[in-house]
Amino acid sequence: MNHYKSYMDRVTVSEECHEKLLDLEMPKKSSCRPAWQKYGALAACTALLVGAGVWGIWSAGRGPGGGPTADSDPVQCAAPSLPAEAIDLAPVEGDDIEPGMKTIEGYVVRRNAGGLDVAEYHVLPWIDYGPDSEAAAVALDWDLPQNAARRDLSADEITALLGGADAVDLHLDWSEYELTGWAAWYADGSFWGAYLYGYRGPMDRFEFAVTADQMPPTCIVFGSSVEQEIWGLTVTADKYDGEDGSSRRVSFMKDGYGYRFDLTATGEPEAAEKLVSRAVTWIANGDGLSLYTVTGEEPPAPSVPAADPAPAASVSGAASPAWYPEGVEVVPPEEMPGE
Amino acid sequence: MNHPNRLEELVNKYENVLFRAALAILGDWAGAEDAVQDTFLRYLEKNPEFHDENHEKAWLLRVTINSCKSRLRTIKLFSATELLENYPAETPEESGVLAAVLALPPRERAAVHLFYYEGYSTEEIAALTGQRPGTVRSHLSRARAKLRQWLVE
Repeated sequence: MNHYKSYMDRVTVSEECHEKLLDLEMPKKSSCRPAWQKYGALAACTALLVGAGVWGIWSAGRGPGGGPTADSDPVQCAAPSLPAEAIDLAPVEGDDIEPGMKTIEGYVVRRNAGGLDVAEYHVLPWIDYGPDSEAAAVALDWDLPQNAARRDLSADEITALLGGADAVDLHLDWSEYELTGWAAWYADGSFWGAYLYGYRGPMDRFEFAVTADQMPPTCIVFGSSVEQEIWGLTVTADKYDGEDGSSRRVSFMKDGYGYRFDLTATGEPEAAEKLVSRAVTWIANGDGLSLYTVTGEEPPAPSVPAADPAPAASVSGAASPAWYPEGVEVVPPEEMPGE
Repeated sequence: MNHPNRLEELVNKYENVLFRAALAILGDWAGAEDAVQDTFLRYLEKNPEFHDENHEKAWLLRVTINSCKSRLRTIKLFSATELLENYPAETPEESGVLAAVLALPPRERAAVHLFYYEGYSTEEIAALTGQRPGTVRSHLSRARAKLRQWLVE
C-alpha cells in the first residue's frame, strides 16, 4: 500500500476550497461575538478612548448618548462548550434511515474504543404489525425432517450464537430472560436450524428461530400480516393484543437463512415492539448472529494483531505508522529495493 | 469560544487529512471538499472541547465520515473507471493500486484508508465510523483479499 500512501500524500484541497474554509463563519443563529470583534481593528482604539472618557466622540453609528445601539450588538456571550462526547452521537453504520422509514426510540450503547469514549445511538425501525389478528387463526403441526437430529444448546453456545454477551445484553436486551434452546443438523452434519427460547414469566417469553434455506416452521399462523421492507429485508409482521398480554411476531429471510421472532409480553406493547425492533436491527445491520458456531463454517478471519499501530500522528506529514501487512515480513526502509 | 485563529489553525492542520479520507470514501473531489466544509461548519456550530490532539483529529474525522455517509445516499456512485479519471496517478503502480482500492465498496475503502493510510486500529476505526469492531474487521478482511497483490510490496 506504499503506492496508495504516496499518492494520497500528494492529495490536497484546492486553493479555492482552502480559502472558503478560512472564511467560514459560525452560523448566524448562534453568533454571539463580542462587540470588539465586530468592529475589528477599531476595537482597541475604541476601548482606549472609552477608557479615556471620550466615548461621545465615537457616537457615529451608536445611540444618542454614545452608548451602543441594537445594531452594535454589545452583548458578549459565549457559545456553550459541550464535551465532544455529548454531541458525538451519530447513527451507527448500517442504521441509516431510508426515505420514508419510520423509527421508534432507539437505544444507546456506551463504550470505550481505543481510548475514545463513544456513545453509539442505534436507530430502531418502526414495524407495521397490521391490524389485530385472530389468535391461532391456523394451528399447524410440524416436526423435524426425518434425517435430522436435535440436541440442546448450552447457555454458552446460545450466547455465542447470538453474537456474544454484548449482543445479548446491550443490543438484544435479553439479559433478563432465561435463555434455552436447541439446534438440529441433518445426518450429513449440515445445519437445519436452531430454536431459542427466552422466558421470564408465563406471559413474558419469546421464541427465536433461525433455519437454513427456509422460513422457520411455526405452529401458529395469524389471520393477517403486513409485509414491508426494512433495511433491505422483506419483513412480515403480525400481532395479537389480548387481555393477558401482547404478541408481536416478525419473520424474514437473510443470506439464505430464515428468521422468526415471536414475542409475548405483558405490559405496554411498545416495550415488546422495541425488543422485536432490536432483534431485527441486530440481524439486519452489522454482526447479527454468529451462525458459524452452529453451521460448522469457518469463522470470520480475525484482524491482524500486529497491524494495530500507535494512534496516528495528529499533524499531517508526521512520522508514518508502521504497517504489518498480513503474511509479509517487515523490511526496514533502508533495505527495501526500488522504493 | 471559537476564535477565528483557532479555525485557521485547525483548517491548516487538518484540511488535507479530512479531504483525503472523504475522497477515499466518496471518490468525488467536489463532494469531498463539501464534506470537509461541512465538518468545519459543524465545528464552529458545536464548539467542542478536546482532550488532546488525537481526540481533536478523531472528532473531526468522525464528523467528516458521517457527512460522507449522508452524501453516499444521494450522490451518483461512480464506476471505478470514472473515478480513476479523476485520480491523476504518477506511476503505473499508483494507478494500479488506486484502481484496486476504488473498486472496493465505500465502506471497505473507508476501512482501508483509515487502517493503512491513517494507521488507526480496528477499534479506533469502529469508533470513527460508528461501526462495530467485528464489522470493521470483516470489511478489512474482504478488502485485503481483493488487495492482496498490493499488500505485498
